[in-house]
Formats: sequence, C-alpha cells, structure tokens
Amino acid sequence: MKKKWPRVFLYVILIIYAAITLYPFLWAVFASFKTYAEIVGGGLTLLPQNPTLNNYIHLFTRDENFVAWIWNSLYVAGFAAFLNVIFNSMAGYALARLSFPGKKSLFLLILALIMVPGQILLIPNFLIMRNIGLLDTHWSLILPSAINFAFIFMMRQFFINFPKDIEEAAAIDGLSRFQIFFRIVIPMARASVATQGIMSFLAVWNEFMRPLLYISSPRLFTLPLGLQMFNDLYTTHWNLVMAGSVITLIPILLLYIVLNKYFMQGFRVGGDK
Amino acid sequence: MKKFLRLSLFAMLMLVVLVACGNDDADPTTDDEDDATEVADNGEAADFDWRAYEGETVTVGIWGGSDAEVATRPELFEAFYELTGITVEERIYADFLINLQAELIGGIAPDLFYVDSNVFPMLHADGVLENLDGFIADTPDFNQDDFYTPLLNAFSVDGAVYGIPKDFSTLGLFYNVDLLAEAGFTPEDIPDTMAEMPAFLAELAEGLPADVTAGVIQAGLARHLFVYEAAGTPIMDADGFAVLDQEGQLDYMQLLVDSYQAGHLATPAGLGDGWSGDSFGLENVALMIEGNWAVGHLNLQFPDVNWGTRELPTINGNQGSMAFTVSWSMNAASDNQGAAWLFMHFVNGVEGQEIMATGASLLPSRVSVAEEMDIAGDPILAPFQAAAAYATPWQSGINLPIVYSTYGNYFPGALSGDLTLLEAVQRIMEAANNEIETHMQ
Amino acid sequence: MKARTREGIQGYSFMIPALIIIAVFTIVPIGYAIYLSFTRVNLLAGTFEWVGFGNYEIAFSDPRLRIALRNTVRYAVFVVPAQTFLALVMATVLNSGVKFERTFRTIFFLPTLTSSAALTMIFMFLFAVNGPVNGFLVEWGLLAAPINFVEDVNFALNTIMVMNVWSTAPLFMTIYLAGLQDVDKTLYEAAAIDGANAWKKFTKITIPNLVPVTNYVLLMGIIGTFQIFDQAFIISGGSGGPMNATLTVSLLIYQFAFQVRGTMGYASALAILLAILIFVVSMIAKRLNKEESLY
Repeated sequence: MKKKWPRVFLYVILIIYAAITLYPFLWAVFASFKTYAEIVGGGLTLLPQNPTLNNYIHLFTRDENFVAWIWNSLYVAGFAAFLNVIFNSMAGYALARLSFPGKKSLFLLILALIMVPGQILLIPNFLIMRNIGLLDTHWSLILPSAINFAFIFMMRQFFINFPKDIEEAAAIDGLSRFQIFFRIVIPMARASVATQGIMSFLAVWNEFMRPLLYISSPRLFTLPLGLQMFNDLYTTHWNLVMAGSVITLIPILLLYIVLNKYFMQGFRVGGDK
Repeated sequence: MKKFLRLSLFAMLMLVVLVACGNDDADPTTDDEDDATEVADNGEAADFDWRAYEGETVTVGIWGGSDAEVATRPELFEAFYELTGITVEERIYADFLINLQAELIGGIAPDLFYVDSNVFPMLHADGVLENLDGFIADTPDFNQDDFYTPLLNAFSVDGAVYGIPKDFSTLGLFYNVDLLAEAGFTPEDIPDTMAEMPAFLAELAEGLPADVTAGVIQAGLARHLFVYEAAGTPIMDADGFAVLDQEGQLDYMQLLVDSYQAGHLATPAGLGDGWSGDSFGLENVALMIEGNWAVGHLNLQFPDVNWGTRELPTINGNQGSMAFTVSWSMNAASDNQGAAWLFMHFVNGVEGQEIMATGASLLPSRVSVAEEMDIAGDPILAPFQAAAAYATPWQSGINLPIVYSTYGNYFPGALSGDLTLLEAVQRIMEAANNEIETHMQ
Repeated sequence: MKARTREGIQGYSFMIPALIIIAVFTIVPIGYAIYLSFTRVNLLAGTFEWVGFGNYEIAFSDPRLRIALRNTVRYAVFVVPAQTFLALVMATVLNSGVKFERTFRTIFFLPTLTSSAALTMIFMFLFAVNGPVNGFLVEWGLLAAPINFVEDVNFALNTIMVMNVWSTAPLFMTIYLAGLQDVDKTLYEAAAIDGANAWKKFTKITIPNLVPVTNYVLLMGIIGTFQIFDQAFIISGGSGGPMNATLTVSLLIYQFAFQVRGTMGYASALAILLAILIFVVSMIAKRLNKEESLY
C-alpha cells in the first residue's frame, strides 16, 4: 500500500507535463481549421465551431509556387542532412580516434566560434556568398549547413566509447582508414547517425535567416520563407500561419516516428571510458 | 595555446583577403547628379519612345504585399511588357531593409526598388538613390504636379526628386455603428475636434457594455508623430536630435494618456489582440484610429460588423493625420537606368496606377487617378484620400529609427502610469539623443 | 615517426570537409566582424574610418548595453538551471520504468519539432490578456485580474523565459534519457540493498554519473540563452520594450547593425564582447561542474 503512492505521483507529473506540452500543439493544429475571426476571438476551446479547409486551400492556391516551396525545403534539408551525417561523423571520428597536430586548439577554436552571435555575421556571409557566386541558389543554404558543431561533439563522444578491437581486426584484413570508416564504423553507429539525420534535417527545414538573406527568387523559396510572404505589411494572417505550421510539421513528425527507435540511443554525449 | 594563436592569425589573413575583394566592388556610391544629367542629355526629349529598350530586363526589389497586390502585379508587369518589350524580373524580400542593405552593399541591388518614407532619408544620405529630375524633365507627359504634394515631398530633398510615391495610406477614425447606437449615439455625435474627444469617450464608455472599450489606438511614434507636431514644432531639430517636450507638443498627447488611464482608450495588446483591426472587428471597441489597410481586413475577416469611417478630429483647428507612403526609387548604381525609368514612368503613370489601385484597392498617389476612380464618392475610402492633402508623412530625418525604437520602449511607461508623460518623453529624448550623440559624430 | 605522420594526414583528411566549411562560412565572417569592430564604417555609403578600440570604449559606457547585459544575464541565470533541472527530472521519471514511456517521450518532444517562430506566436496567444493562461489563473482564484504578460514591464522577460524553458527542455531531456541508458544498473541495485531511497539514488548515483551530459547541456544552454534574440524580437517588435524589459544584447546588436545608420562597427564590437563573455561563462560553468573530458 505504502509503495503505490510514489508511482501515482510520477504519473501525475507525467500527465501534467504532457498536457502542458500537448495543449499548445493541439491548439495550433485545430486553429488551422478555424476562421481568422475565430482564432483571434480567443477562447480556450480547441475544437473549431465551423471547421474549414479554406486556410489550406488558400495556402496551396494563392501562390503558384507553394508546392515548389515544399519540394525545395525537402531537397535542401534532405541534402544538408545527408552531408551533415557524413561530415560530422568524419570530423567526430578524427577528433576521437586519430591524433594529429593542432587537434586540441582546433577543438577550442570551434568552441569559441559558435559563441559569436549570428546577427553580426549576416552581412559578411552575404558578401562571401556573392563572391563565390552562390547567391540565389540552393547551394547557399546547403553548404553552410553541411556541418554542425553540436553533432561533431556528439559524434566525437560516441566514437570515444566505440570498441577499438573491431577496427583493429579490420585493419589486419587490409582495409584502409576510409574503408574501415564507411564500411564498418558508420553502419555500427546507426543510432547516432539517425539522430543526427533527424536533428540536422529539422534545423535546416526550419531555417529562416539564411533563405531570407540569400534567396530572392520566389520559385527558389523554402517553406518558412514562402509562408512569411502570406503576411502583409500590417497584418498577420493567423489562420494561414497556423495551417502553414501544421504543413511544416508533417514531414518532421513522420521522420521522427519512423526513426523513433534509434532516436534516444543516438543522443549519447556521455563520458569517456 | 600557441597553435590557437596561429589559427587566429590564419583567420585574420583570410579576412584581409576578403576585405580586399569586398571593398573593391562593394562601393555603391557614384556621383548621381552627373549620371542623371548625362542620361537626360542623351534622351530624346521631344518624342518619348516606349520601345527604346525593347528586349531588355529590369529587376525590381519589392515586398510581398496583400493577396490583392500579389494577384494584380503580374497584370501590371504584363501590360508593361506589351507596351515596351521589357521583361520585369521581381525579387521579393521577406525583410526588406536587411535584404536591400545587403544587396546594395554587395553591389547587386535591383534597378528599382520600393523605399518606405521613413527609411528614405537614410538611403538618400548614403547616396544609393538616383536623382530623377533629369528623367522627369525629359518625359513631357509625366506631370509631376499631379502627385499629392506631401507624398512627393517625402521623397524629395531640396527640390530634387529621388522617388515617386506609388501609393499611400493615411489614418482615419473607424466607428462601429451598432455599438454607438447601443450606447445611445449616432455617428454624427462624434466630435469634430480632438479637444472634445475625451469627454465623448467618457460618455460613450458609460453607455457601452462593460466588456467593450470606447476606443483603441496603437501606441507608437508612427501613430503619434502628427500630434507632437500639431503645434508646429518638429520632433527633430536641425541637428538631428529628438525634441518632444516643447510648448504645445504634449497638450494633445496628454489627452490621449488621460483617456487611456481612465480606461476609455486601450491599446490592442491591452485588449489581448494582435492589432487594432482585430479589436475593432471582434467588437471589443466602438472606435478605432487606424490606417485604410484595415478596410480590406475588416471586409475579409469580419464581414458582419456594421461600421463606417471619417477623418480624424482636428487639433487646434487644423486637420491632421499620418501618411504612410512608399516610393519606387532607382538604384544609383544601376547600369540599366533608361529601361528602369520606363518602368517607373509606366507604374507611376495614370495607367499603371489605375491597374494597381483597381485591382489591389490601394489609394492612388496621383490626384487625377483618384478623381477618375471617384474615390471621393466612396464613403469608406474618401476620408483617407482626403487626408493625403494634409497628412504628415511618416518620416523625420536619418535618426528616426533610433527615436522610434526608444519611443516604443518608454512610451508604454506613460500609459501604464509608471512615468508621467513629461518624464516619459524626457527619458526618450535622453536615451535617443545620447545614442545619436555617440554614434553620429 | 612515420606512422604518426600518416595518422596526422589521415586526421586532417577526415577533418577537411568540416574545416573548409568552418573556414569559409564561420572563420572568415568572424574575422571580418573583428576587423569591422575597430572601425566606424558605413557599408552603404562606403565611408570608413579606423577607430582602434574606440567602439569598445563606447561599449563600456553605454547605458543601454548595461541594461541589455543585465537582462541577458538574468535570462540565462534563470533559464539555464531551470531547463537543465526540468530536463533531468523528466528524464529520470521517464526512465523509472513507467508505462507508455515512448508515448510520453513523443508528446514531450513536440515543442522541439515545431519552428521557434510558430511557437512564439502560439505562446503570445496563450499569454494574452484574454488568453488561456490568464483564464486558468483567474478561474482558479490564483489571480484577481488578468495580467498583461506580454506588455507589462515586470512580466515580459519572465514570459519569454518560461517559453524558452518549455521549448528547449525536451531536447535536453532526450539527451539525458540517452545518458541514463549508460548508467550501470547494478549501481542502483546495490544502493537498493543498502536501503537507499529514491532521492538518495538520484543525488548519489544519477547526478554524478551524468556529469558529462550535464556539461554538454549547460554549454548548449549557456550559448543559446546568451544569444537570445527571436523571442525578444517578436515580443517587442524589435524595440526591446516595454521600458527596456526585453532588451537583450543580441537585440541591441541587431538594432545597431541594421536599423541605425553607420553603426555596423559598433554592432560588431558588441558581438565580439558577447562572444568573449559567453566563452568565459562556459569555462566557469565547466570548472564548477568539475569535468574535463568533453571540451
């Protein structure tokens, strides 16, 4: 009898916290089926009084490019995520497993670099993109996002704990470093790779500042940038914003559900053993 | 640590390279007066040739705009192509100021772009806008005098024109007919002078249901500027410092603050709404001071509300309002100015303005177009069009952005009663002028 | 010796894609910003003046920077511990063998998957005067009258703090949860035999074993909070009001970089100072947490 209470207490905490997280989310989802007046009219109610698909219809029909924006976002985020997985893993592997001169200072440097606030780098980055001729191309979104410091750290942590004997056995079989890495190490790092994949996809998919700065042709817009176009100078169209955020969420949610089983294991930043 | 330093040195080296190439072509300043006259001399003044630049392309930098604007724009570009054979390529900016500044710095800005009246002084001072006088002189049927004077003045410096107002909005008074009736009033009871407004708001508040506030106005310098300047003292002195505490500047602002503290006026956020248009549409208020952009919003989102509009009450016997206007301006560094001017001439001409005004329900900046469309006969839009003749443009020198954000920062303190109005404006002046002093030499 | 050289070459060849990207898109822009921070420059007009440490001197006597710094530090001091603690507690609860663990985990993770702009907008609605939060608090008698959370000087910053904790804690919770899988189960069994209660296990086993994870979470939290921009921008329309309540250092940098004419150099100096501050704070946090391995 005595032992049951802590359990109940745990569930109460979990349920309250789940409600706090779920309510705003559901509110946004249901709001996307409401009229503008009903959304701004407030009220605690979740369910729309007169459900309507008009917001979605409007999104898909106002601008001929809308479907292209979705494809652009999928392409850019997918490509960037792919590069992230390879490059971050390679860098993390080198930092964890190989000893080379300058490693420690490189590590410190990378750390210091992410501490500079991004606003100040907008103009310099714009000038660089102009100088290398990538403005108004999708490369300007993919290349700078192709690595991520947080995931390099994560991969380094993972590889530090990775059993050495497997690689040693492979080396005896005559495989080169790169062969070992791509044929043996990466497949064994599935969970971390999947986690990185989702998280870097997510980061690029939601990215707003880069497309804002680099892309000016409407047909090359990504979804977050395109959705911004639905707000005019003086008014925010909440009904469209909510519908847009639901559309934005769908691919990420699907990806998350599909890769869920790897997800948690992948997030290892634990200590060195 | 030594290696860390070496890497930093490497970084510095890279940046020197970057700066070297950056500076060469990032310099957009050209001697604009000379350029303009040159083109003007070469142009055929006598018979204007619309097909002179056939087959060329002009790039235009704009923002998205309302649904109606977006839908009408292709029609405008198409009509221009039919006439001139010039293709229009549009770049749409999500954050106009950042995008335009970046492209100007990078030397790749479009031939033509929108300029909002409040950032015009800054862009002009930086020398990135082309002087249009030469083009105008060479285009006999352009008829500069056809534009509402305050609007054209907003883009002129010492008589030289650097932008042609494409359209405009002004502030007017919106009233909810049903709510007025519920409180025992008709629209005719709304006073014509600002001095009588506080008493009217108080009476109105008494007659309205408890959850309805008498009036709503957005708090911000963009809405208040003309009130400060009503007695004739500009909010910026000749040296570019903010002046908000002079004789006569605060009298009418005090009325506004008093009504707010009495609960007869509210800000939209105070009512829990995103902006005044929602408060009014949801019938949380009976009166609202807003721009004509609210007209389309109310019709679209709140079609069942019964409302009307009128001009703002007078201050000291003078009519007053704010004018928000945007120009088409030409890039001083554009190498395609001839074709660009044709586009300017077309969109700002009678035909171009008619296409945009009809399709996108914007107020035309040409008097003749406004008359042609009989906007004066439209009971909803007439008050806004009328204000074009006397409204104060939203503009006040290159330091306005500093004063604007400082104002938005401290003015809420006057509304909440944490500061008196005088204290609030003094803080605004102190903070803004301190910053202007530090950064403007 | 030869083997070492080979390994060095291998090391750099594995690093090369990352290094190129870092050099081009991070080091060069930062170098440019450092350079600009010693100038008074108007990039648009093309005017330029070398001022040495002039911008840095201005910064040290700038009253608005002092306010922005105070707000930013206050923000970090609340948000970083709060989100770390919340993440740790929720991860521990989830890891204690509850049913529907995966369902809860997915629900908790939703805020992380949503874009921050959409989240901020939802939050503005929730905290509006006639919004659900006020409705709830008034109905339950916790408040006499609704509070204007977004516009009130005393609440505006707190509102975005809560929002930040709510939206970032789930990610850190997931990281903790992963870390918990690595903690040796036998430690708990041994402790249970010794009669340790849940709290003892939490403080004596869970927390010490998660020190490296905590380090990572703290580092990411410190960087994120000291650079707080989006929420402050949206909530104040970019002004930092009401009465400087939401003026953060990043917002100040943005204002000087893009809204005020000819202050790009000063904005750059502020950015460099902020980066140095973040670096120092992170190092102190690491020391306090007594761990060397991660970075």
